[in-house]
Amino acid sequence: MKPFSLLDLPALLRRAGLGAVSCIALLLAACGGGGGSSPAPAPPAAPSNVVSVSIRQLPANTSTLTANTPYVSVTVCAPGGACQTIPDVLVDTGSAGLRLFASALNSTLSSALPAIASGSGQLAACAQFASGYAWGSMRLATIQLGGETTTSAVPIQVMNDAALPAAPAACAAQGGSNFASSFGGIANGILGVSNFKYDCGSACTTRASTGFYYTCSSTACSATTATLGQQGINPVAAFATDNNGSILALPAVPLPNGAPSATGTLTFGLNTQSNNSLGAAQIYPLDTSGNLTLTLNGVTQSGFVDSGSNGYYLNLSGVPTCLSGFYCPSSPLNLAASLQLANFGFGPAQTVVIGNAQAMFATQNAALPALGGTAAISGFVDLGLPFFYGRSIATGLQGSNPSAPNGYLAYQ
Amino acid sequence: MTSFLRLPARAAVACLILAALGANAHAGLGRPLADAAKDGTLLTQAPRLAAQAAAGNATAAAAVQAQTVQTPQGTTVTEYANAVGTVFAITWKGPFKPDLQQLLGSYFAPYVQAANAQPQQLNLSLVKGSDIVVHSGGRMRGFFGVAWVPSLLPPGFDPATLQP
Repeated sequence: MKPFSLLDLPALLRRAGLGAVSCIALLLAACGGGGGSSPAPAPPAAPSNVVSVSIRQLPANTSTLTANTPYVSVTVCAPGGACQTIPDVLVDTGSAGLRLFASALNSTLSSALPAIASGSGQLAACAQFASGYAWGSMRLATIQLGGETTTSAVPIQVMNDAALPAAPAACAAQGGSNFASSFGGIANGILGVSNFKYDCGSACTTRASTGFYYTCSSTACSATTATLGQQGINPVAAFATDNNGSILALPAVPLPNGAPSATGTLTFGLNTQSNNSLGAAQIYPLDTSGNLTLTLNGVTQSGFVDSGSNGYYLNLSGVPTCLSGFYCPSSPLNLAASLQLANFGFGPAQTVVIGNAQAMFATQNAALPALGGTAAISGFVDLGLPFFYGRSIATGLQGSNPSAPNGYLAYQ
Repeated sequence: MTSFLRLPARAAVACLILAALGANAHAGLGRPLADAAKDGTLLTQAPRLAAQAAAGNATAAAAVQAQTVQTPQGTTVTEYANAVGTVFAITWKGPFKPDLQQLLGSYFAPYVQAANAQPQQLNLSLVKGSDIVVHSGGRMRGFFGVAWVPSLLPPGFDPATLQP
């Protein structure tokens, strides 16, 4: 048992004598329910390269509490013109490509999204994540995020597409959970806006043995290669403008126990508009795996910054854990993290606060800025979603900056 | 999520399917280290013991052998065997996930069962099943992890120190 972007705490709820009714009450409070005074003035229209990001408990999800799961709305259109806006798609700075659950698509759209031919069948993907796999068809769709639109219909994945055979053995053999069941109530999809342009990249153009792409008849699937043009593509890279990266910015929330919800922004383009200037932000190049070198309290380790991880996952000696590997110190700990620059020096130290997970979960807050747990392997630091609170963190696409060929992170 | 994750009937069906799939010849956990070549192309033989001796109990580490292979997925896997040559732990690192069904062998089904019974996030997974522990991390283009069988660990050996 452990860490989850998607934190599920039914046992705690039961222990506390709380249940779905309490969750609903909490959500209403979070939304300012019970108001009724004069309406607030209309906010100014958002610039076209910005979409809102919300972190909150989903009203439809009454059985599970989540923590630090950032959602956006995504509009997808079929070449024929049918469009649908899909809410509550998880923003993942650790993967490339848009993946939507088939169950989130209406019948008009799902029948109108063209399949992608592969061999004598259609192309399917077994998208790989550390926690499991997402099986589904690759289909063409035009993607709209705020005022940005892909210049053409691009490959997206329709996860758990009933038109396909079940996930082949080679897909399930990667282990972990099948997202078709494990993520159904948590998000309607995954918006991958990493530093990479394609989900798999060049390896899948020449090797079927990666286990990523498959060609499917109506009854069976076999591993295959996929050209770059067939692969899942980071939607940012397919925009006409503002296509060199994105900035995920979240507000600071109270330390250590957070807030019921938080609302931030995902802004497209870097140094292309007045609202996406990097200014004096430092550039932190990423390696071919999307990782970088960093120091944590002066100790050099490998790591990444990732909106798809719901906490800080790093090894601390002598700090008590509880609830299957979350840290539960008696008072919050301040750590210092510095990421490595292009010149191999280290950037300014950033404060990372680790609070008491049990106290945080007891609040039922969705925005938990001090949530931490043990690392997957020693020596690797996962600076997850909490690292974004109070920061605007840019992800630069591969190929957009000569000093960082694999892409980069940047923040003030 | 919880409601359908924890349906016992569904889990049981999944386990049956996985057990059937697991009939292929495999090496990996619980099997002789000499079978590691079935998991990929042999890269190095037993050179990692110094690091383990430094990290864990020196006496225990002295009896540990290791073999590194490159799997068909392009992932580097190191298998660690105890004094009688049985693989008790594996690590992996590479651009794609390895075939954990092959590498975990008979421990794959309890791993998947445990993974399905717990909440998930995308890019990190720490699973403790029946006599199997699997820590999986990383993101597209860069995955890593470690898995071990608690009952097969050499006395005093700390698997949390294993580095892919």
